[in-house]
Amino acid sequence: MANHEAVEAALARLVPVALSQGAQSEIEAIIDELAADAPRVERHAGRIVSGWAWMAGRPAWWRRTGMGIGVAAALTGGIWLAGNGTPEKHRSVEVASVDFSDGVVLVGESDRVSSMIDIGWSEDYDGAAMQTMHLSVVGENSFLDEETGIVMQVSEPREEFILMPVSTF
Amino acid sequence: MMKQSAASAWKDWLAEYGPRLLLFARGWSNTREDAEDLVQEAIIRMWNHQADKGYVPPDLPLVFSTIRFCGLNLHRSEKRRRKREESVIYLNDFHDVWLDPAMEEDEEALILRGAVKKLSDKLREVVTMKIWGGLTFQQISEALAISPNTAASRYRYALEQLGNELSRLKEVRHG
Repeated sequence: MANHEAVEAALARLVPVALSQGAQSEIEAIIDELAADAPRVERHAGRIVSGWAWMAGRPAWWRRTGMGIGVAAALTGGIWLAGNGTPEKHRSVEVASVDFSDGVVLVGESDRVSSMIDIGWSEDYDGAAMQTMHLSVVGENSFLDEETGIVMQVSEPREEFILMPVSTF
Repeated sequence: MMKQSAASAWKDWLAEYGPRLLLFARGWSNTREDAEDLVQEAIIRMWNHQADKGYVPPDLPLVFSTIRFCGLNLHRSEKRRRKREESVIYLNDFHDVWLDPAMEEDEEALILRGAVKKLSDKLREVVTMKIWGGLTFQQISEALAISPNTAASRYRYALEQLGNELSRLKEVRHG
């Protein structure tokens, strides 16, 4: 029987096959598309700065609004993969006026479930049976521009999959 | 990270890690094309996930974990499709290669390649992550949601099986 070191050495001599040229090109094209669509968001010493250059030259309240939208987009992007909560038709969180930028205040945020589909059983990492639900969720953030008194609502639709253990068969 | 430099970094990252991701994805799909689709889907999910981190290319363990999740989804939809089309018999299309065909001249490599394919899914994914992914048992345990000890045990058990298979087939071939 070959020892483990010998098997490891033999395995290491095998090289994974490369992606096909077509698949490689397709993925690179997707990366280019994603990069073209993505708003540039940079972090500098704990604060978030929107990179939307087209804001330049706009009125001050307009720029602040854009800043608020940029922050909202960054926040919603950050929770994109966090779909592990319990299904709720409407989840609303009142925020105690979180101030993200000069003059624009987050005054409310909520998650609205627009559709919920039972897509059957699947397996988790350990092979346990799980009931899978597909949710279409719309996150809605309300921002108040203190200067004009205008309240803006930023909607961010996203897809979530929720796995729930199956305990009875 | 600027968008263009992010795209460039992701392409470099794909060139370096694409084959390892494909090998891992191959364990979760019936054909090479499906495996490439899994890699593609995982990369799109990763791009969105990395938005909050300035679009830097993701860590390998997270990508393995995401491919696994996508593979589970594919497996589920395949099962549902099979139920709908019960009259069709599906065979695994294992004619495409899992590892470099250039090694086919090497008998030991050829036997090992076949033995890796025959490992159970749980064992093969640990071997793939360890040997070709270069992950530690700690990283593997995080990607698979198992303990590091379980990851190490599966790895040792897989090597044991591969070693046995190697010895057995050599004996058969050479008498």
